[in-house]
Amino acid sequence: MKYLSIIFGSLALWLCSTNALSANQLTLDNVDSVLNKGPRLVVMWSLECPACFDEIDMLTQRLTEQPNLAITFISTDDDPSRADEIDEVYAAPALHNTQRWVYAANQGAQLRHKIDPSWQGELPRSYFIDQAGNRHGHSGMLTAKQLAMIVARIK
Amino acid sequence: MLRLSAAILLILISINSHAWHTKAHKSTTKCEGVRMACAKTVSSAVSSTGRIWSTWAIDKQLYLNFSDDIGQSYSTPQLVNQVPELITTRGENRPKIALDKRNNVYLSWVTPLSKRFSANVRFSYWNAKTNTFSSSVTINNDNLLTGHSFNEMVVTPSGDVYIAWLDGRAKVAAAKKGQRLRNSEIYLAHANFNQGKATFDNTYLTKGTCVCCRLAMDLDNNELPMIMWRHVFGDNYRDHGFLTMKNQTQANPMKRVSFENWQVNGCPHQGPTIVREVIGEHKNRVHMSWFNNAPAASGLFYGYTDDNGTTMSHTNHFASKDSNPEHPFLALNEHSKSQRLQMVWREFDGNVFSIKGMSSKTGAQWSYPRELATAKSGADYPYILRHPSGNYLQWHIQGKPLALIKL
Repeated sequence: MKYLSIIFGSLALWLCSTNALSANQLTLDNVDSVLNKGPRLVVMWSLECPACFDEIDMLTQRLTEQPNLAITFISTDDDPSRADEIDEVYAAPALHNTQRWVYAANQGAQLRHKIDPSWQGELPRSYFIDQAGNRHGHSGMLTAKQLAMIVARIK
Repeated sequence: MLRLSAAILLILISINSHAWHTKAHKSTTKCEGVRMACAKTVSSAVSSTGRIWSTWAIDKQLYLNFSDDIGQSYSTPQLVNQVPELITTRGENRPKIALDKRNNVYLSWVTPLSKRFSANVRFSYWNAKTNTFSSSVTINNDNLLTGHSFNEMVVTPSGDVYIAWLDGRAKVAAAKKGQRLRNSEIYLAHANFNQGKATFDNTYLTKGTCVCCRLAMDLDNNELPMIMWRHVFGDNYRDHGFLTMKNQTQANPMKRVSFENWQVNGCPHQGPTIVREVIGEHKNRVHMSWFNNAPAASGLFYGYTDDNGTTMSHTNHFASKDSNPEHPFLALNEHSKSQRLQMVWREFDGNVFSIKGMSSKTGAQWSYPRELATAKSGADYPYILRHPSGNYLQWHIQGKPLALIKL
């Protein structure tokens, strides 16, 4: 019985940690609900975007200091064969309290258009969503000053 | 009891794994088999006899097949790489194909390596005389675990093979000094198998390029490569650079050829396209098209140069960002003097992808854009194939036969 308790205890921990790593699929049906709630910072990124990893590193550092910042990460890689690579990025402990999403398969253009028809796909792309749910877009890495202003409103 | 626990553990692991698997793949429509239709991207080139050669990848294997009847039927796909390896087939980073006048078929692709953003540029060719593929080789000669990607290739009629790519070896050197380079360099490799030069040398061309956009290449009047790319000017102004070669290994200085001043510290994921005029009054005019997204200048642009980029024509902003235009592709039309140039690109209105096309005699004035094809999903970028019977739009839609539409 003692062994059984240990096994189930370990199993429970393992299940929790594994589920924590899984990204949810962003679809045309749920995308509005993900991007309508503010104040929040939503960061769009891709495995094919080196600058995105600089941005993720910067936010990871900030989240290590302030774990409860309202930040959502969305991977724009709509290729299911890359799920493990995305999962690896999301495995950073500092991201565990954040919302983590990945585009549904082969829906990249459709989702991009629904999120923001004026966005041409450049990355990283971030949106500060204010209290009223308005989206304020920015292309490229956030500067330290921009991030500080956003953090002051989402902490 | 232990056996029971182990059994329960295995069952739960199985349930959990399946849940993740289902989550990640539930909306995938599976296209199965070693079929060109199932490939993510298809790259093609046409021989002087009209044979359309296509290369595409499925599950770590690169394949080559051909059609002699403009896509109505295809040969059995032949395996290019005998040893399986990852092959990049995403967006603008995809396998390349080119032919010489002997109908040898040259193939180049990128294989990602273990470290993020590290990759090698690979190469093989099919010898038309012996009907064999050469062993796959790595083109970049630095033996470093760093970026070598966005390969582009041109081949002269006599078989001079030029491959250019974005190279990260300088980042490794900088890192050893405690510095960080955010941009890439362009390297060029050359070989000629018909003349016994079977090893690719590597030549540094320029530095300070954007790291995530395709290069564009063509040959100049001396059959030396010309290259256009997205460069990083000043404080992250991502406009375009252009260079020609003095000889096979020495580049002329870079010229800036676009001036929209798109300032972004990120990845545009959109590189340019070029083609050189080879006959007539405007022989050697280099036609260029590109995407930019500056606040006052966003969408697709066209311009030309008659002096290798020293001066540029008036810039034609032919597609605004409202239609989400992307990936222009330029080609010469050998079958019409009045509409010598052709251009295609992709647009998206939120529901439907459409391929637009227009033509021009000299580049100074263009026809009104017209819609050539539409698709709801799975739409690749458009390309133009120069076939002896006329130019064709090539448009790959995953799961469907390759679309070849007469322009």
